[in-house]
Amino acid sequence: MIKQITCYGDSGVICDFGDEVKKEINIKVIALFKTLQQKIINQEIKGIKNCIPSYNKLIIFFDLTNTTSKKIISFVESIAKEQTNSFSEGKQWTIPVCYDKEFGIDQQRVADYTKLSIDTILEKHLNTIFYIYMLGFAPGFPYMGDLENQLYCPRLKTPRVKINRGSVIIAENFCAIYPYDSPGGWNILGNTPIELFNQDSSNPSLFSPGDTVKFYQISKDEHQKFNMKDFLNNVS
Amino acid sequence: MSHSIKILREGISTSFQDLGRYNVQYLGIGPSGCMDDDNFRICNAILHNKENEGMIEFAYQGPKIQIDQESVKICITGNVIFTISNKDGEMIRGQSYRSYYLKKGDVVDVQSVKDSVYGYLGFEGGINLKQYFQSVSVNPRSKIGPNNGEKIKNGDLIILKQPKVSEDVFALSRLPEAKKKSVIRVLEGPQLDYFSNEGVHSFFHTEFKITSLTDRMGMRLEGKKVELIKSANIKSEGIIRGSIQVPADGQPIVLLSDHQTIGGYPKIGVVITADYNNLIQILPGNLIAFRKVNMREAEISFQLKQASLKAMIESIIKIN
Repeated sequence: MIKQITCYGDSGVICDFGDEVKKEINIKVIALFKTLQQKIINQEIKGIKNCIPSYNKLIIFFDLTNTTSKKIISFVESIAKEQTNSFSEGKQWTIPVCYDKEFGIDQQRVADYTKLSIDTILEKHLNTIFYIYMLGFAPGFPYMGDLENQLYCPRLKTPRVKINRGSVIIAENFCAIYPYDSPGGWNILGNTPIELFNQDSSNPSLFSPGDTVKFYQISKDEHQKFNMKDFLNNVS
Repeated sequence: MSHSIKILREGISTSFQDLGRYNVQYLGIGPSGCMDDDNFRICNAILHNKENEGMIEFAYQGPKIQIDQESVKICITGNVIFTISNKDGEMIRGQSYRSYYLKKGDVVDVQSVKDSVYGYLGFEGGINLKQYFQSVSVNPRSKIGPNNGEKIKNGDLIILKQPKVSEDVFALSRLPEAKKKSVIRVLEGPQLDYFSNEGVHSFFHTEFKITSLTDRMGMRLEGKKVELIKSANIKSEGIIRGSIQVPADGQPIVLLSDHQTIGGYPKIGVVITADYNNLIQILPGNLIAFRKVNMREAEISFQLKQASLKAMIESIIKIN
């Protein structure tokens, strides 16, 4: 459970769940996050402006006009006691990825670094069930783990100025997908035609923290013909 | 379009803002919102708008706009130099912190912000903007908000909610202090143990120059290197406004309203809420210093700031 709760400036509180990056710890962070979100919706607590879950911490930002860190801390302590075993499973996604050489420009770099064949790398990537620790960096950007240690490959020394939207990328023990064109230094394995974020949609971010992702391979032709609406209809 | 405001010159970093976007940071969407919420609130109060009504924020140089509807009431807040001219070529020098009744064809030229960075231009009744996640604030980096998530550009047309207004105008009789304090009060940050004693000491006892790489996302400082003793990376965690992070080069960055949602650099301090508006109004090139305070001083200072804002808003009087 929570190791300690401390103040973060005069308008923030940090709930610290321990030092490690582990799914078991993050599940607890997200359980507390979901409980708090519900309490905010039910207006059981006022003044909270943002709850931000990450690997091992939940950060709460509040409006000093309506509350104080003291009140927020005692509220969090009270709900942390009552929610001992509550845990709601996230959604399970299967996401298409195309590993065509045109997209997967860093496959060889990863192969050289890991001393594995490209086929083995892609097979391991396809067989991993990724867990979304958090979203951040950009709207809808998922930090997913854990990649097998055998696939460990550091980031590029010099980040690229532009990585294409939909790029499926790995670095260290993590995998992510770029929702937009963006600069970045992760290794690009492939590309997904999925739309991760759309501010005009009623459900703007496809993923939420705590969801899981498994990839399935598609051809370049299927990538081109992919239709997001059909995908969403099949999911719901 | 006959009911609109035309942007003749966009100015610098001109965008729609309100008090920010909340409860979506867990999706990677930052809070954004106006940099100086005192000047934002005062502007809406003088116009008798709702306190969170969206308006135009600008930095250094504001926009030049032409009124293209029957009548409009505007108010500009901040230390701003501007002129108002009509179709006949008559021109007056405008004053901040009062409203002006303007008619079709009038032109407002917001020439510059004096000895500070941000200014605000609001319209009575507000601007007709689509809300995204309950806010009209624009974040151009993430492309979030109305206007396709973009800054305001030359030639844009802005549609107001009210096509005409009454002639009554109002002004603040108690003006805010224009002088900016160069000592910024700070609470200890959550990763103080990442810094050497000497690093912490020099952070709180030397001056830093605000560099020109400062924008709505962050204020980059330059000064004596703040020494780290552990790695310059932490496990990425949620960020709040006013956090002072120190990357490996030892030069602090204060995270401002358009900050990223999560970050991986250790934070040596957090600017107290009461001093945030003062900080963001200090021009690049100036020196600032950080003074360590405790929670009690931070909270009392916030209450004092709120009381002073309330007194200013209560000093609004009708002037015609």
